[in-house]
Amino acid sequence: MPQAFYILYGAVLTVAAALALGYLVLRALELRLYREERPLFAFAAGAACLSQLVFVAATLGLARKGVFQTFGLAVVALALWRGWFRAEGECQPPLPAFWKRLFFALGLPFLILYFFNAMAPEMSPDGSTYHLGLVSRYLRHRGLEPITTNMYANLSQGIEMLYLFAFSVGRHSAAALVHFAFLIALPLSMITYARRFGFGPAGVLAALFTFLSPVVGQDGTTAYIDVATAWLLFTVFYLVQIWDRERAPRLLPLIGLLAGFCYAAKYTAFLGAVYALGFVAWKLLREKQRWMPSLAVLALCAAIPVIPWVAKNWIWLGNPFSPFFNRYFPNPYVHVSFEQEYLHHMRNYIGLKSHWDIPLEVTVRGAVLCGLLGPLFLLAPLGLGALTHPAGRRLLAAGLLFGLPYASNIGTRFLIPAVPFVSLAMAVVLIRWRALAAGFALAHAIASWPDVVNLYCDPNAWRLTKIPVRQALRLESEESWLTRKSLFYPIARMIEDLTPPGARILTFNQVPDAYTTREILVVYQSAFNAVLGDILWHGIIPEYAPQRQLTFRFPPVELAAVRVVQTNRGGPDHFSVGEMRLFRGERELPRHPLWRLRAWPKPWDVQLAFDNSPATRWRSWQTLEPGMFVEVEFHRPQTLDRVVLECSRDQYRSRVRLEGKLPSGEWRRLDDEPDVAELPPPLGLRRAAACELKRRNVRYVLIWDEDFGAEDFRKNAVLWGATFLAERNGARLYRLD
Amino acid sequence: MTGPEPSPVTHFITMNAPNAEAHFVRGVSRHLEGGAWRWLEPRAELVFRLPTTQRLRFVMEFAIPEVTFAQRGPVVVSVLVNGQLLDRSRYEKGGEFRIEKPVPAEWLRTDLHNYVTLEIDKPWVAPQDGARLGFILKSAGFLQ
Repeated sequence: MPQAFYILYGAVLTVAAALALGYLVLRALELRLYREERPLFAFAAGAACLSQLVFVAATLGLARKGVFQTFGLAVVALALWRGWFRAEGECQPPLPAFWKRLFFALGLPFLILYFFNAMAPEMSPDGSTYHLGLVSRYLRHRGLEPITTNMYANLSQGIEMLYLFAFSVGRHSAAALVHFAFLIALPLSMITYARRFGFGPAGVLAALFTFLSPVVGQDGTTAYIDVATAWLLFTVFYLVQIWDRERAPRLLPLIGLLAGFCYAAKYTAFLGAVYALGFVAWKLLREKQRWMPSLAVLALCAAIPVIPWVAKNWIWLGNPFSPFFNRYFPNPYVHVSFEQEYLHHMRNYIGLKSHWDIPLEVTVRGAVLCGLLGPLFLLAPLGLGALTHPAGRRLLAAGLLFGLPYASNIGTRFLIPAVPFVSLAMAVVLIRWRALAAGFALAHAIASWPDVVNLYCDPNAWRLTKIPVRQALRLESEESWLTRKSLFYPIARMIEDLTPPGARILTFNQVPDAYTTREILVVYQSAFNAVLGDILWHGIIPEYAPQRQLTFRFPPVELAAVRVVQTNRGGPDHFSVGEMRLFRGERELPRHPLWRLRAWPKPWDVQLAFDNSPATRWRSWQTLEPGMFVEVEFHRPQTLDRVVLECSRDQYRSRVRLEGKLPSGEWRRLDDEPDVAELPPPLGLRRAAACELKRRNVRYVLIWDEDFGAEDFRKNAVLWGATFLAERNGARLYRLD
Repeated sequence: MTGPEPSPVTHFITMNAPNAEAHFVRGVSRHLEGGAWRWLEPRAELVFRLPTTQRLRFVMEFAIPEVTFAQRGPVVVSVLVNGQLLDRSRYEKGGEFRIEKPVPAEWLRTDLHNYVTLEIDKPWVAPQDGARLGFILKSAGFLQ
């Protein structure tokens, strides 16, 4: 069968299975909904249920094509047999023909554009790396597994569970098409919401504003998750508004389920649950009604999709909210410093000169912040006029709440959850002047069409550029298109071709994991990888080498333990110890297997300060704080008179003192002012670093030409003990021999 | 878990290092001047131990005081590694200098000590005590 068929089959089966499950939920709750609303709410509820079921299957090691396909076909067949898909309920008030025609006239070309792009080979940056990279890995391993070398695996992956279902049948593009289904659901939900509350034409206008927005189209046609998340948040808002009007208690389980699923879709969407709980509590308290039972139902149902992700992280990673809050949940897998730097980078994209540039970047330019909403959204302040409208105030409040995470990541796509609300607020104002409103929709459509976007956006803006019909239908092969169009795909294939199964490749940038079966270790993506990067850089950065010797001298004393304590505070320095040596007279005390080594923070790496390797060091991996220490507790008291630390020079602000524990248990200061001497740069540091990498089962290094140290690797491959294997698009693959 | 006893003789030495004197065979002043440098005699010899002989560069930071040129004029500084001439350069005026030159692996050895001879063609006679001096050394040794 042609590949295009499997792609469509995988996507359709996933959406149909979700719909079938969703209809089952709606029937069980006996909700009174409009005919137009039922498929949308069914899809939302079913997506949440299917995601949960896939999670369970993946946990049990049953993530297999046959399992998913059998289940999907069975549930769809059952739904068809029992008539779950039958249209039920009253119809909504009709839309004026003018707005209906405008919607189809402007929406249809974009629907075609989006469909073919979604079906074309997937090469989006995050989609082809971690969203589908992890999905692909789960499928290979037939389920979830503890992944400690990629912090993206620690994020909640509710939408990725749906992608896993689709991917098992139709591979990458099937997953992207599932996201495309969410992209269609979003404007339709906006319209049905507006129709229900009596401003249908404004709903159409707002749906066009959102649906035609370039970044919404780009994101929603890839295996990203932002549009799906935005739709789920909007659906929660929508259901809460229905509950407010009808006070049907049966709505609460559905609201809770979807609010929890928002968190499962994306951490930042936890605000969906905050909104639902807050709104319901506020309303009931204001009306002096019993609020506990309602909130309990909401909270319990919300917990169903949340708990699996929290539990998975807590059990496997020791941090329920990994990769964040590592200071409160210390763990060996993600460094505090990573979290600090990551959040800093997400708030300060490279290339953004000033935060005052954000409005133009997110609406017109689209390169630095990765995507553009379209120039129409420069008029977003118009939406403030909706404050005079009761629904407008609620829309703006929800938009503001769901837009709050933008402060933590200023990429354009992080505005998508707020876009439907802003669009509706703008539309509520503009709809008073029909011709003007239609003119705005037409102008937005023209300005959002790829050929026109090309005229004004930055050439590097993240956007759709054409309708890839041949590629979508696989008349041109996936391999050919990806090799021509993707900078990174050939690199993934080079790795696949030149490394054996099971190989681990250390690199500094993301590689499309979804197109290789090898394990890619990106330096910033976990603590383990960061230590590997630190080791590698020992060979290149003189400040990392153990060239500073601190010697503590004191009268001979019998000690039960000894520790070196850092006493200063501040960044950017980290405290580190390359080697800690203990002396009695001229003789170094041989390290004994019964010694107990301790450190804080990062106790798990303390061995690195006692391994006699010049290429490793124990490192705090967070900025200086008083009380950081490295400690040795002896199996029996030892007499010492000197302690030597071999340290790197990249910790200019660190200050240390030596403390000893007497056999009585009392801690005593031994020396506050060590002698400082410079050591020569060790020879063979590159080779030592390579040996340490190999000890950690890393035998391949992928270095881009613009990476730090790339030139050193090229010139000194012999010193590294590395063999150059191949180069693709500026990325060089080396084998450590 | 037992590390090797560190040898005081290494591959590179700064003149103010605690173990610097272990590297002096002859012709290097025992007095550290200004906390960082030492006078050499017209012919001085240093010893180094190398864990590898691959892709090494001999690196030396030194100075020739301007005041010495009035007495002896331009000078030629030679560097010999295990008896093989690595570099010979002429200096016409005073200042701080750095020599950095790759050393053929076959000149070096890991099993035995490596000797580096530093020569200057004309000595400078110190007016105060009549000492015959060469130039000022800050650091020397082998790096990759």
